[in-house]
Amino acid sequence: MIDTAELDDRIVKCEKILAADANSQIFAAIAEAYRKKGDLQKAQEVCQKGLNIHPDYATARIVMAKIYLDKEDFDRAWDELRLGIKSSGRTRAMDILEAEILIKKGKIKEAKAIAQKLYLSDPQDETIKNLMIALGEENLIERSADVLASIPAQVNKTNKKLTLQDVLNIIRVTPRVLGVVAVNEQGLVIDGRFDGNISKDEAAALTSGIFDVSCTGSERISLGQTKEILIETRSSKLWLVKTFRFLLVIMTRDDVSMGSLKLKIEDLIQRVEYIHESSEQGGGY
Amino acid sequence: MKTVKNTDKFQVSVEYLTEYTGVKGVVITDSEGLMIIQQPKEGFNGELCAAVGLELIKLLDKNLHGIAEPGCEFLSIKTGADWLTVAKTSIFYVIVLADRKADDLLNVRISRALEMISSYMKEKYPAVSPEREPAVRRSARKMEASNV
Repeated sequence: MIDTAELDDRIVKCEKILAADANSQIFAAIAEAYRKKGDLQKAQEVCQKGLNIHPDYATARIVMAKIYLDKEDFDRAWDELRLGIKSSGRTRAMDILEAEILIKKGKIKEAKAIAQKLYLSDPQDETIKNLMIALGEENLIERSADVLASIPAQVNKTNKKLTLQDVLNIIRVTPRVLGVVAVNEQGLVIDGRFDGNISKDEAAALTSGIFDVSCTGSERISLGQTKEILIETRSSKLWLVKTFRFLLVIMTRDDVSMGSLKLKIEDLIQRVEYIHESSEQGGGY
Repeated sequence: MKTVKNTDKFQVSVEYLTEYTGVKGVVITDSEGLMIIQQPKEGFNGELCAAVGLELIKLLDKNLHGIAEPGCEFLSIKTGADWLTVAKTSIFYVIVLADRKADDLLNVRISRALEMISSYMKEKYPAVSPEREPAVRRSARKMEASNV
């Protein structure tokens, strides 16, 4: 339930800041508070006034898109969202909003594609779960819940060693992880869970190439043998960890928490018991 | 007596990084590999590190072409004993060599150094200032935000 007193308080505080500095970007927060209160007209006025000064402020574009969505002007909501994406690139919030607008516009197929992608990257997120339910995708949630439920049980039961398959399954369902693959010394896939833009074979070939390049480079400056590489781009992170038997390649979204992921991976790597002989394609790291 | 203000943000940035425990040396270069400044410690070869670091970034960009556009913004390589970071900001690269055991919070320092350089460039040379903040800064900001 929305606490209107808190919203009023927030509006008063933010308006003081805006009064002191007319160029402040705080207008977006004020507009959002008015929107949450249900005063869509005031929200639109404040947001539009601010956007006249800061046309490239993506957060304000998102607020404006939400205002139009609430006003059931879906075309304008869509236009504002596109302007937001254009000025700062895609974010998770934008993807969610895009799916919501698509649902309202009756483009269910497109909305499902976005929602499923979001759900696979973060199955625990309640907003995305609700989006999936709105799209009638309860089955996918139930199936994923079964997988998630089975993993802790398996881990607790042994609390010691895990197969490589278990490890890859656990990593894959970790929030914000887009894919994981174990690669041998020859650059061949041992096993992997990769979907989306590239296949696990492409990921393996690409990353073993990257690893070789980095090894050669670091040896040239006498840094010794490479153990770990982290590459960040605007949209994703690629983390390569060399273990005794394989190279573990993990692709994540750019907003993943590397600290907690590292702790988790270190723990899992220590607990990998063996690699299935049938799937192992020779050679170790 | 007139006080001379230290306005060389490149110097400030490298000093800010080298004072961190475990950092062996820092170098800032332009996109062509021309060294702007370096702060060596313990036999750090800035020129060699810069050359290799930039070459690696360019090779990675080539490898990542079509998968991660517009390419690599931050590279971190950890070996048995060392930790090499190459981070991109506007038209410059910051290359940091540290001990492998240095605290991961060094990344926050690197992001702050990038921010210093970016804001300095934006202020002094707005025509060449970046349109977007570097990836490492975005990550650090999220981290800071989560601790607020």
